[in-house]
Amino acid sequence: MNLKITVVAFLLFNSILHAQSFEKTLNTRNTDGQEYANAGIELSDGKYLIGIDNRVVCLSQNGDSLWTKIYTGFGNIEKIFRDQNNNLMIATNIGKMIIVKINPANGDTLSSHKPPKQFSNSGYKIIDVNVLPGGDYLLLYRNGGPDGGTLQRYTPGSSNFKWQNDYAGKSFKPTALLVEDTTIALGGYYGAINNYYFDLKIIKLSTNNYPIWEKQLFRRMTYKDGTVGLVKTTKTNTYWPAI
Amino acid sequence: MNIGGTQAPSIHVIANNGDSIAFHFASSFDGTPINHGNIWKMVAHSNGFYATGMISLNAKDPDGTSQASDRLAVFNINQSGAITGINQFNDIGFFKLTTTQYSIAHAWGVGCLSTSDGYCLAFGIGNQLFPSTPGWLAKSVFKGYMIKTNVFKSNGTSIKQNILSPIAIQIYPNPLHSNSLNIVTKNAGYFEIIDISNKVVMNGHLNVGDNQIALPTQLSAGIYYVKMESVIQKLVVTFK
Repeated sequence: MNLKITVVAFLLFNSILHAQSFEKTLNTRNTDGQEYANAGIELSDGKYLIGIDNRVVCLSQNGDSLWTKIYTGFGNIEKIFRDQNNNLMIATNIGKMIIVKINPANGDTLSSHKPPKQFSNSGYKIIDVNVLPGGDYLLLYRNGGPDGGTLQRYTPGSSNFKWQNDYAGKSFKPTALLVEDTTIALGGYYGAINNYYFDLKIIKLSTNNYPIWEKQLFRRMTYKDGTVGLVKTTKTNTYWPAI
Repeated sequence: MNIGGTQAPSIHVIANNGDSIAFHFASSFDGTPINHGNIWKMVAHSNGFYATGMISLNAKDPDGTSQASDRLAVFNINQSGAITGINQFNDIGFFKLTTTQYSIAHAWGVGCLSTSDGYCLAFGIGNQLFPSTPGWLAKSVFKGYMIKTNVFKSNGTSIKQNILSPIAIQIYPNPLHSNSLNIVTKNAGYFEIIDISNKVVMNGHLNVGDNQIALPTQLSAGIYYVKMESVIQKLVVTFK
C-alpha cells in the first residue's frame, strides 16, 4: 500500500514537474518535403507562435497544436516580433522582403509593407530585423550570393532608407544583429571566401551609422555559413559573441 | 593565441570597448567528446541565458561503424558566460539507407525562447523518417522541430581561457590636430590607417615602441581607424 502511494505520489510529482515540457516534430504539409522552423515568439497568454516554412503554428504551453495559418506565396518566415506599438509582425520573403502585421488570435494578415529600394531581382533573404525605440526598422539582409550582407535603417512606409551599409566585397558575412537604445552590434564570420578559414568579426556602430569600433576574434573556423549568436549582458556590460 | 575550443560551441566575452576578456567552450557532452558544434542563438532568462545550436557526436551504427551525427543542442549559460549545462535532442537513430549502408539524421536548433514558465523552447530543424524509393529503405527529411525543456546535463565540460590581446597599440594625440601621429606598439608589424568607407589612406611598418607617423597632407578631417592585425583604434582628425 505504502509503495503504491509512493509510486502514485512520484508520478504525480513527476507529471507536475514536467507538465510543460514537450518535444514535437511538425509535418505541416503532410508531405516528405523539407520544412524549417526558423522563428518563434511567446504571446501574452502563454501560447507560442512558431514559423515553419510559410506557416505559423500556434501551440499551447503543453505543445498542443491550436491552429495553423498558411501564407500562400510567401517563403520562409524568418522572424516573428513585436513593433513599437506592440503589433505582432512576421518578416518573410516573397522574392522581395515583406513585413506583415498579423492577428495573434488566428494569424490573419492585417497589413504589410515592403522595405524600400528593393531591386527587381528576387533573391532577397531577411537575416534579422529589429525595431528601434522611435519605430524605425533595422534590417539585415542578403540579396543573392553566399557572402556579404546589407544593414539598413528605414521608416516603415517610406520609399527610401535613412542609411545602409553594404558589406559585399568586404569578406564579412554578418549574421547577428544586436540593438540597444542608440548602438548596434553586428556579428559574423570574416575572411576571404577562398581562404578556407574564417575569424569572427564584431562591428559596433551608432543607430545613426557612426562607427564606434570593430574587432576581429581569432577563430580559424573552416566554414563561413554558420550563424553567430550575440547577446549583451547588462550585469557585466559585456558582449558575448558565440559560435 | 592557442584556442583549444576551435570548432567547439563557444562564447567569447568582450568588453563594451571591444577588448577580449575571456573565452568559454564546451568540449564534451555527458562524457562524449564533441566533434564540433555551434551556438546560434541566445536569450536571457532569470539567472543567465539559454542558447541553442548543434553538437556533433560520434555513434556506432549497427555494423559497428562510427559515424558523426549532428544533434539539436540546448545550452544553459551562467552570468559569466560559462556553459553550465547541455542537452541534445532529435537523435532518431540510424536507418538503413541502402541494403549495405546505414545513415543517421542531423538536427540543428536555429532559435530559442525563454518561456514565461521558466523553460527553454528551442526550435529548428529536426528529422522524420520516410519510406524511400525502391532499393533505398528509408530517408530522413528535415521537418520543423521544437523542444521545450529545463533539463541540462551539467557534466558537459565548460572550459575558460583568459584571452590576452595579441597586440596592444596606443595612439596619441587623439583627437589629432596636426599631421603628426604617434603609435605605440609592443609588437613590430604592418599597420593601416583606413577611413570610414574602409579605404586604406596610409600603410606602413611599425617598430616596437613609439613610432611617429606623418599622415598624408591631403587627409581631410574626420574619423579614421588605425589597424594592426586584428586590433583597431579609432582616430579623430580635426586639423584645428
